[in-house]
Amino acid sequence: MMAIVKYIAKRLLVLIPVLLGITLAAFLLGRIAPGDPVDDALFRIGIEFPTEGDRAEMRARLGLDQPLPAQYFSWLGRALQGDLGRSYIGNRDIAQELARRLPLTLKVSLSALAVAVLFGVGGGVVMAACHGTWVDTVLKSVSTLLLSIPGFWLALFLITVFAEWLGWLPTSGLDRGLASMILPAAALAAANVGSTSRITRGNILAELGEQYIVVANAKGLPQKAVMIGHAFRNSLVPIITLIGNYFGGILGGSTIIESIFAIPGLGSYVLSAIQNRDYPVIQGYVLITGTTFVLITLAIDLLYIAVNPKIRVQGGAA
Amino acid sequence: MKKRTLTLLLAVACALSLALGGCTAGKPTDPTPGASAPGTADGTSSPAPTGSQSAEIDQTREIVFAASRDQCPGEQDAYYASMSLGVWEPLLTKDASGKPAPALATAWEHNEDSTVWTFHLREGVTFSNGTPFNADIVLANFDRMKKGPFESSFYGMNIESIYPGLLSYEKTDDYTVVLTFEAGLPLQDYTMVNYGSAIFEPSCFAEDGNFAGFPIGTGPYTVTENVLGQYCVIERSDSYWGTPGIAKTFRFKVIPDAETRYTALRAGEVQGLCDLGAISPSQAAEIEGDSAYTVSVGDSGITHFLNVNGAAFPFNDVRMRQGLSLLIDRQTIIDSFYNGYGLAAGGFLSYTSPFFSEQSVQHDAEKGMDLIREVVGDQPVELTFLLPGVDAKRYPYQEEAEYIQALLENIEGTDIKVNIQMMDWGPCKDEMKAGNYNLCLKIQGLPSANPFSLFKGFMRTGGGTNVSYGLGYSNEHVDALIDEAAASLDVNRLIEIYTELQEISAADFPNIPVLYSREVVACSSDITGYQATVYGLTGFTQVCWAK
Repeated sequence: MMAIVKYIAKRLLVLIPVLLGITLAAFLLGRIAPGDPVDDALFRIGIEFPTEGDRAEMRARLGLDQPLPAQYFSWLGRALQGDLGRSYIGNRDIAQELARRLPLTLKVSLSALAVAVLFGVGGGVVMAACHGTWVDTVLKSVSTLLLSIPGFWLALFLITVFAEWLGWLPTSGLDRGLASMILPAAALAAANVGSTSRITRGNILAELGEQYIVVANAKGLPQKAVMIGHAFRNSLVPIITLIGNYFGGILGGSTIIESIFAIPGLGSYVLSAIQNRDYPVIQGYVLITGTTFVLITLAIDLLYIAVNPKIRVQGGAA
Repeated sequence: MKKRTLTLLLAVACALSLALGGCTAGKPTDPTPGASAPGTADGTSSPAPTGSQSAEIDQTREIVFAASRDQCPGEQDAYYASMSLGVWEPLLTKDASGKPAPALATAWEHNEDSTVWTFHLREGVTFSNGTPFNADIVLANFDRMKKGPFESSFYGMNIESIYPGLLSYEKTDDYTVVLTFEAGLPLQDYTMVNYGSAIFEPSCFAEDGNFAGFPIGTGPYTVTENVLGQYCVIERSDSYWGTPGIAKTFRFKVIPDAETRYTALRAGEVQGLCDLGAISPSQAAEIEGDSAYTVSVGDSGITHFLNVNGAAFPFNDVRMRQGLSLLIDRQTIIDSFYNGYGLAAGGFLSYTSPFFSEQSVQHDAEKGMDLIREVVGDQPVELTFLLPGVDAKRYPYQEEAEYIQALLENIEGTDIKVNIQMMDWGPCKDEMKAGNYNLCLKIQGLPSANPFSLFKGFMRTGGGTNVSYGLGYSNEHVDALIDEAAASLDVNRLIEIYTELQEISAADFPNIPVLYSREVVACSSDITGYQATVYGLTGFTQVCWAK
């Protein structure tokens, strides 16, 4: 147990340089990229045709007249105290805005994760169990199809069929509870369902060829117990990695899906910030999503230990 | 429908092939209450249900509209809600010709040198919370404005821009307010229309001047619910001083994606599409003949310009700018790419401006090509044509640019190559400012009924937009006219100057006007009374259920 605590502490310590690195990268990328937030900020306060004097004044107001290291460390100092600053465009408290939008992204991400696990892993198990039959062939084709279709196209297609033609589900928004989640979750999870199901199938089939399965079968264990209790469990590590990374990725918000389904989550927020060169928002976003991603990776590592005790013996946690 | 059918067919084809593979391996309307007439597909009026008809229709049902942006951006926005929602009202609004018209101020006058403006306020008006409207309220709004500038996604609230050199604001009685300025401002009333003189009940302001909750205005509707980025709900104010709205409740959903917005209308989820870019020209054309929908076309203050780098060869030669303007067939662009929703533009100022002076639209391809040949000869010329992503998403700029590219590249006896590049507006503007471009399509609206800032920005040597767009335009006579306009106290002389500037722009082409936009909105036939008005401002008091 102590070993696991030490392992977690070590991973959390590693988080510090990682976060410093990604915030510095986000800061520098923002500044290197062409574009300037000053004119947009002036436009929003009623100065549509600014003079160079107006621009200089706004630049100073936003702190953009300071040297780059001063700008970065000033932001970092405030961020360490929990103050992510205010957006250049809209003048909103960034931490509050991220907190307001995170639950919306979380709702969609968790729904997509549920779809990915249910249909991805479930489909993979079914394909492995029906290996070589027509069911396997059909499901393999479906998974290839899901992998091939671009998310935005699938989203528009699903909206056309299920909202416009059939009228079963809303086109967009979040005001119809679970019904509002179905289409965004399906569109967001589709490609992952395809890849997860194929990996699950492949891993289970590989495990089924192992000697311990032959032994289990020789002992007379029921086929279901062999499949679920042995083959499936031992094939979980790469599946967890895939799903965990996928979840970490979509937690940052899916810009396209959020835009199509009118979900004002993190993805649409950062997309607008990038377009407007709203540097503090981009940096705040990177900090929050980077932290989340690292924590999810840590959680995945801990899950490995839970599902496969061999990792505890051989790996770093022991 | 063609696009959708094709989409479905493609999907079915993909599914089949993969499955098989698997087996084997008008004119502008005043947006103020009671002033607008409801519109139909061709922009003509269609009446709202009459008294007896509307009595039979349940108008308490919620009407849902979708827009690409938040109609209630909330407490951090200078106005909290779009003016079109009718939650708040200004002192002055626009009449049909774009000139200042009474709203909460019924009359106004100024002294001889235009330094003192007196506004007479409407009596008997109350806010939605029962507070009476009077001069103290107006003064409190000026107090608040002084704490700014305040940001807005509509028009920024900046007292220094709207009321430049304001020395004092005071009341002389409960319904008269006097503004005193440092220097004469003969067109101050034009600057104040709509967003320039928004009035709120002061108790809705926080200490810093932002809103501390829902806005309280004198308009026919009040905000009752607002979920930022998702939707807002407004309800009819039964104590409204003017003609009240017919429908009781409206919900405005935010649906940024144009295709989803359109599908929401077709699915019956929303009854109407409103605000800027409500519906694309191709979508509008799809449903225009369908009796289940009504498409309304109205005036817009937006002009599409072809900006040119006048500081570099070949557009530093006025003949090149004139030649290109003559070469472009604006009507073809409008008919082919905008489904007819536009007007050919001959001059710099939008036709919706009260100072608009019509400039003839000339199309003479032969003459245009001759002028261009005179400038470029047979030397190889490479032109960079920039398309800002933000506008290219909303308008058919790619097709338009390719059309212009084809025109230029096919001029006999020349060797012109046009390289089209789409980029974000930020980098695009950087390239323009640095002079690393030749052509760029971009829209420009009317920030105020007073066009002075537009002329100064685009046409004066060193003007803000002239520099930031890299137009490189310089004309001593224009500079003198703009300087004279800045100091002039004579409205008639200002009109003369603005007219002359438009004439010069149509000959000199600091940038090339292509078309005046038309505002297109759409709604289901379940509702009536909805029409497009200038710059997406749409009144909702006449909008109601038709059945």
